[in-house]
Amino acid sequence: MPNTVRPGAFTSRRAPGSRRSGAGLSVDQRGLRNRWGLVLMITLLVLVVGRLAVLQGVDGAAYANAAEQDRLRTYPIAALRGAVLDRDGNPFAYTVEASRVVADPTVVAHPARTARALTTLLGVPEPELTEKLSRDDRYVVLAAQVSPETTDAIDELGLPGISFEDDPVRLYPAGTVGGQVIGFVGRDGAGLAGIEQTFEDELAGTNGHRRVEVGSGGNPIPSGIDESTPATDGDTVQLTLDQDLQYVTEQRLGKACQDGATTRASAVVLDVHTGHVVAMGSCPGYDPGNYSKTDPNLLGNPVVSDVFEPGSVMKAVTLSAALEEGVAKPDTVLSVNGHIEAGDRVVTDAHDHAPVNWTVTGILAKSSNVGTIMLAREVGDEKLEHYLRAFGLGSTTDIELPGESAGILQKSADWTASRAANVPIGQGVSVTTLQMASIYQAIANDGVRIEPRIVESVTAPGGKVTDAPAPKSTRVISQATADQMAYMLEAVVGPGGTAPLGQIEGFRVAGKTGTAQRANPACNCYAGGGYVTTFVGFAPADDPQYVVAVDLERPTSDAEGGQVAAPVFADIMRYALTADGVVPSGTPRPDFVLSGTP
Amino acid sequence: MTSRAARVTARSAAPYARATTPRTTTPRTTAPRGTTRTGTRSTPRATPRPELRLVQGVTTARTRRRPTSALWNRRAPFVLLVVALLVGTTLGLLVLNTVIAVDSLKATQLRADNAQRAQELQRLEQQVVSGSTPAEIARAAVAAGLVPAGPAAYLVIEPDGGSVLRGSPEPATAPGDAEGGD
Repeated sequence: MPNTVRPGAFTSRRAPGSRRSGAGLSVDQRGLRNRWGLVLMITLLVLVVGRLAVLQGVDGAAYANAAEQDRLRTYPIAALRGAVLDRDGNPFAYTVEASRVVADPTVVAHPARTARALTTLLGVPEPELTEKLSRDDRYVVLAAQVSPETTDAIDELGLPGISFEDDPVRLYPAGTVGGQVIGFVGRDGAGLAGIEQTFEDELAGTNGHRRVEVGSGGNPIPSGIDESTPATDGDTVQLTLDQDLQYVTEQRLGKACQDGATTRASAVVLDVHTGHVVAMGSCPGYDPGNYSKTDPNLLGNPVVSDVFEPGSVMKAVTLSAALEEGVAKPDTVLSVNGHIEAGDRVVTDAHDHAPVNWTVTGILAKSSNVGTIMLAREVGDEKLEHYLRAFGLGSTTDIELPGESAGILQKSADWTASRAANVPIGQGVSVTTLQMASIYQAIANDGVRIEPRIVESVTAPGGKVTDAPAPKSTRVISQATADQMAYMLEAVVGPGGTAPLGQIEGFRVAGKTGTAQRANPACNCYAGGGYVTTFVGFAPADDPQYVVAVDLERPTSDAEGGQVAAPVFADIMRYALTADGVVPSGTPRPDFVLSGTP
Repeated sequence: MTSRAARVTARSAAPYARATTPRTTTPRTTAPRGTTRTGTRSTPRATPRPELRLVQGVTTARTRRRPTSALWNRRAPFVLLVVALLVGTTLGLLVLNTVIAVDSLKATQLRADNAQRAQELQRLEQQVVSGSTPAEIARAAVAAGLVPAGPAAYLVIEPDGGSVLRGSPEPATAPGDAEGGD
């Protein structure tokens, strides 16, 4: 570019001939200096760029994350556990919002003063609070499940270092009512018994969280990041129980438990046409809200998990088999002795007697062991076992409750002669209260057994209702047999029967008493075990609506089912019918023929 | 600006010289140019220097004022527009930010109010639930002097229009005799 090189344009300001840097160095030396200089510069550049790359590229994510963590706080949002309702929507269990009061002791300025301010609000002793607030820690829990009103009051004090976390509290407003069915949740909020356990997945819901950008004081920046993943609350489980009937049932059982002889009383009420459990309870019960102070042995649900030998209520199965198999009719007359030989022993009626000519109806009404065994022998062991299993014995009902027992029913092939005589009269076979009720539900429902269920539906938070799957329904006996059985069972409560105390004014009642020897857990024998007295029945006999099964464990008494269990049955059934608006029977009780001439 | 103004002058004066010396305004003598190009360091510099300082310096100073003020006149609106835009944007952002912040604060406040209402609702619902449990109702009923209902009777309308009484109604027992609860 010759034209830029105007004379004087780039003349050095130095005086001509004055010393410049590098002046006096040879060309080689100057080249060497330039090269090293270049190397130095490149090295520095590589170092700087390299460090930058490490910071930006390799550690960048970590630093960005750390910076974000410094600004962003994540708070968990606890999902509210779903409610458990009765069939009318009254809550047995529900969850309300509450808080856990936590502190950061490093921020708390005056532990003693803070403790004094909080002690009455939290209900925690002052020394305990002072100790917690003085710890060399950044997180201490001062109190759990504190009500919103209390947290508001604490908030107004403006104490530094105190904050709140979601800690919902599970409430059981009905207390002991339905407690054994509902179950309870542990400290971590997970279901440990009853419906709370079976429906843990549905009830629990999913926790959410909230991320907030905060300033140095920990306060949210108004226009900063504030994003939250909302919690999904748990589903609501609606039961088939009726809270009022449940209350009455438990009240009545409680009264039975106070008679001085009864150590345990259980009852279950089934809807005849649907198999729904309308009430289920036993005493002693427990309050799920206070389970930790209850004897752990009482934290089960005896109605589905305790088995006992039902005694004479089982005769309904034996006689159903006899009628269905054509062995006898209700008016068939048998000459019944007071005792009968069975293998190595002799089975007697409640009181030994000379031979009597009883009809089959009479055998049931008088609860004759001998007559029942005679009929069972006509039916045959194998057929009898078939009917026992068809009525649901020896297998679980698959009700939506944990810890259900299948009961004990041996195969007929393994029956000894004495066992074969015992099973038809309800000894040597074990059932739960629920299985016992289910037998009578089948008879009352024209011979169709519907597996009992206690859950009606599950409702998602959005309102989507999922009905419980329909239970298995099977015909066990024909309608004609069922009608004949209803007639015969009505004779039990009628004049000359064993349970006139089971009568309910205005209604025709069908049912059966049972007084079974109770196995003594101490010796695994019957000696000193006392009795299990039972009564199972349905009403109105001409149009059955409800089945009520009651069993009382009475280790120290020899009173019979008709005396102690039947009145409990009548009280529960009376309320069930009255509250449901069931119209009293329009037809009178038929005249029963209990004896005749063969 | 200087160079452009100079070039304009130069062009009119010596169009041919454009490719070679755009900055030249006055017809410089070819001699020094030639000297510069071909000359060596031994060529004395003293000769062109005064010429540059005198002529060009004055020329530049003189030509600068006039075109600058013209340009200023022409560009002033643009500059003003830019400045106004900058100021406007800044103010706008400020206002927008303020509005957003105010809204955000309001939203926070409303959320807090909402939570307060939800809390109140929860408290009231809890009150209703605990007051409507069977045990509580039974207690309240007994306290109010009520007794459990006895057997009810029903008037059933028959298909033929007649009615029939089912069940036998019984007067309730006096509260003192009643079994409380069920």
